[in-house]
Amino acid sequence: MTLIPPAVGRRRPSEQEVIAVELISGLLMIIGLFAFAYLFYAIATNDTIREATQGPEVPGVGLNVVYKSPEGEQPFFELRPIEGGQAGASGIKEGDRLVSIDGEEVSGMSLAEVQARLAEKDVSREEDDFEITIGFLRPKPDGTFSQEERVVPKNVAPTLTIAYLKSFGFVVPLVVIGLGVLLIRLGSQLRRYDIIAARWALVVFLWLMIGVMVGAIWAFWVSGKGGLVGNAPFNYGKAISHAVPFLLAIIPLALSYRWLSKVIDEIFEGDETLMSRQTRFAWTLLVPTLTVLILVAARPLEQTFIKSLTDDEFSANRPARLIWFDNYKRLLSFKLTTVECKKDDTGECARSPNGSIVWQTSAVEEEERNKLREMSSAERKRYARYSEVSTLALPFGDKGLRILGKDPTFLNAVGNTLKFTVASVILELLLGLIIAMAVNSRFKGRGLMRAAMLVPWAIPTVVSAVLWSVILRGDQTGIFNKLLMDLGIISRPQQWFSANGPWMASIIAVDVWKTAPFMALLLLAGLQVIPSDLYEAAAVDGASKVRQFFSITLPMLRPTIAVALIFRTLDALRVFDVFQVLLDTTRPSMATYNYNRLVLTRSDGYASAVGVMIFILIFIFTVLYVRFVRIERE
Amino acid sequence: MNAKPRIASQQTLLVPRRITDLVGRALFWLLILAIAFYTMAPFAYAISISFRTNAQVLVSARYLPEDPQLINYQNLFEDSDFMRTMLNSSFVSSVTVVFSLVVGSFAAYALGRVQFKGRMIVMYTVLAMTMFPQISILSGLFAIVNDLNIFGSTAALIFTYPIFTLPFTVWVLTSFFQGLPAEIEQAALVDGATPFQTFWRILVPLTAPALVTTGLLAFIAAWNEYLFALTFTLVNKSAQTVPVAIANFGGYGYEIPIADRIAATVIVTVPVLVLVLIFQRRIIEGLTAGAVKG
Repeated sequence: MTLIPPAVGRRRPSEQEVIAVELISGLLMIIGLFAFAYLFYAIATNDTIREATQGPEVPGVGLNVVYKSPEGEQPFFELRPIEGGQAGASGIKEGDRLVSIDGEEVSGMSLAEVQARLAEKDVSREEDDFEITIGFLRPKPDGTFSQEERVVPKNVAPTLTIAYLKSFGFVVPLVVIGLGVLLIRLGSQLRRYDIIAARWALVVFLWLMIGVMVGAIWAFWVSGKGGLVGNAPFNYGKAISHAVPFLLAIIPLALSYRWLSKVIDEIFEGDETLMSRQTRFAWTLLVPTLTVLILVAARPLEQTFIKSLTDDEFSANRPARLIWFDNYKRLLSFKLTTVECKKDDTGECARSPNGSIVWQTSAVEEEERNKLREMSSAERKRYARYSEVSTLALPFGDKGLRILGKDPTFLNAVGNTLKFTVASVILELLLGLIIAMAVNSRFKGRGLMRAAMLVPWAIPTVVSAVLWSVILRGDQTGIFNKLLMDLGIISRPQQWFSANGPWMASIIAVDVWKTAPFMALLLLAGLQVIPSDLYEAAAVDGASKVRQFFSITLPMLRPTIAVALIFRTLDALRVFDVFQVLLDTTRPSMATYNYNRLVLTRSDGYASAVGVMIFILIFIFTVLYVRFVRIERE
Repeated sequence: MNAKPRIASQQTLLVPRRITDLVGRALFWLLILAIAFYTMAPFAYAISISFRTNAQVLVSARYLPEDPQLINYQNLFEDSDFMRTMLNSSFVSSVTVVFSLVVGSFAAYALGRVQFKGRMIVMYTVLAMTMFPQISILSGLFAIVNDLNIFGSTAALIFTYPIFTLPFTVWVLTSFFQGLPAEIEQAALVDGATPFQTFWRILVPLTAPALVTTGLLAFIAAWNEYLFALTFTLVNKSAQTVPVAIANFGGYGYEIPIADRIAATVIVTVPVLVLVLIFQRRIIEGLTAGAVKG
């Protein structure tokens, strides 16, 4: 075989070098193709996707029946749970005698009919169509039978769309395909002895080596421990056998890298602008950060969004269904209506012991109640009705404005979060401004003072919440109550966090304590860059301190205040720790509501919808924030 | 409040001026004292309560302990579970910090010192990411952590923490890199150094103080993190971090464990406080440079 070396480069590459370049460009193309192949392989062999295309391994509830008719007895169907089916897990044992399916007696059915009913896998995707109720007789040791009933979920495959979206989504496949295309293109450019391609190839090899190393360590660790939770002894054989393929893959990469970097300036040719060089260098450095952000931010965010369009539940024994925007509809549905108050004997509005007006039921609620009455139990289970979020007394007459929602807890959470955000951010700004102004003037012990300001900031938020829950205990053992009583402000202990106490104010106070000093530090930095001759000039002109504050300090501080405000608003909108520690689940913030739905009630899809809404809300403020910072910097 | 404008005070009579001055000074110091009390009293009270027994705490509130005892601290230091959570927290935070600093300094160098296509987009994406609401991706991360088979381990935390440490590390370090004079690289380039050598041998040592600051902030953020730790380690006690342990504190007796719990909060906060007080100047610098979340 003769290869004609191309007549480019500073020197003609030797015949071996030509082969080497061919090999390296081949390697790049193979890696690119491998990325495609691996993607398809992963999709084709994915368990969920296979289930979606071929149906579940064990169809139906996973029960075999044997027809038996012993002498002197009624014939019966004996149940035999299939391994891997749901029946065994639901507590049906071999030897149980089938009596009914979904309440229908089986005595009149044929064996084939019964088998077909139990293996049924087509479901209409209605709530209770995912399970079969099986009535059976269980033989007892004394020869009698006990009548029992079990609800067994069917093995149902998810639809292909859901299976694909949940396991792969778009972000990662798109990145893999993009990289594959780039690598194949790079391989072909390398064959043209293009120096830019060669330099990119070096970068690619470098990061591939690092990536493969990380893969090797990961494979060694995870397969050795057999999952990271649990105390199984470390299996070195398995660990090494899983890590070796990765280590082998490094060899060709390392060889290519070394050889290429040695000859790069000798046999490759071309001009490169400084910009192109710098761009390559910058992107090289950005690779790990971008990888991490894709893995821990973009992909989970995509996953959350996909889930929010389904009715996925962790505990449910059924696959998720695509319900599009139903979760959002339910979260956001609300109605406004007026209600009359209940009259007491004097004709005035009746008040409950804590002073709030007692309202009557509204027409909307009556309507909902009637609707529910007419529904079957299955329909009732699925139906979300409008119920009260809160009622505001209208200024005239005996009427109130009632807000009704399909998910009152969520609407309450939104209300709580907004109230909390507005109040705490304003208070923090005022308090922070006072603290910053005080600390900005010169006095003995200023350094100490600044250190003291960092104390609340440094205490973990959860820890500060726990601490405040002790300080604000609702009886005489709470130090704040004692302090107020010693000062004669209150006469008996106040319940700070109880549902009809001033809990919102307490929560806000706890948050303000933690973050006002931090706000002060940000504002202090802004104060320090205001030139002092401005004040001097103002003083010479006879401007009072108050005047100076409003016509010098505030305008000069405006950008800092703007950034600090947006910054704090963003933080307050996603408040979690204080609500989670100090309040029960009936008074959530948006974030704790999301958490409760996800972890306590395990409704994954619904919680995801809440997460997406928080994201959108925060995103709006983030855009504002970025715009402000950008104006500041340019 | 500013000392200087006093010179130009329009008052000519000596005595009233002195009096207003004195009152002003007294009010000023009162304000300073009030601020100091406001910021420090709660933690001081925590220390005070940690020296009382649980039974005493449940009977009455006192500003100072009646007979100071170390029993709570003894219990905690003998409690291997609690010590384990301290170890977990230190381990997770340290690994997160080292990882974020190494990876983040690469990116920050690219964004702060190199002119390239797409720089602005990447930079403001990173800034936007510092505001990322962790709660929004909780359910998505839940699935990924499950797929990776690391649910309930400290690895789950090490895997997820970069989402809040990395963007702000990159952002703060970028500002620091931008503050360095431009001649540095030019001189190095003239001397024949490669860009990577310039970065590693010259710029990184120059930004060592910034690295310390950023590292500290990242450490504190990771040490204080609650949401992910709660979600991913609640099922496995041996992987829990300190905030989770304190929030779900079981105590050592049959009563509500107040004193022990508060002693635990003191133990957790002291290392962070010491760090903060030693490096306070740096921390304030770092906080204001990036206006980042604490």
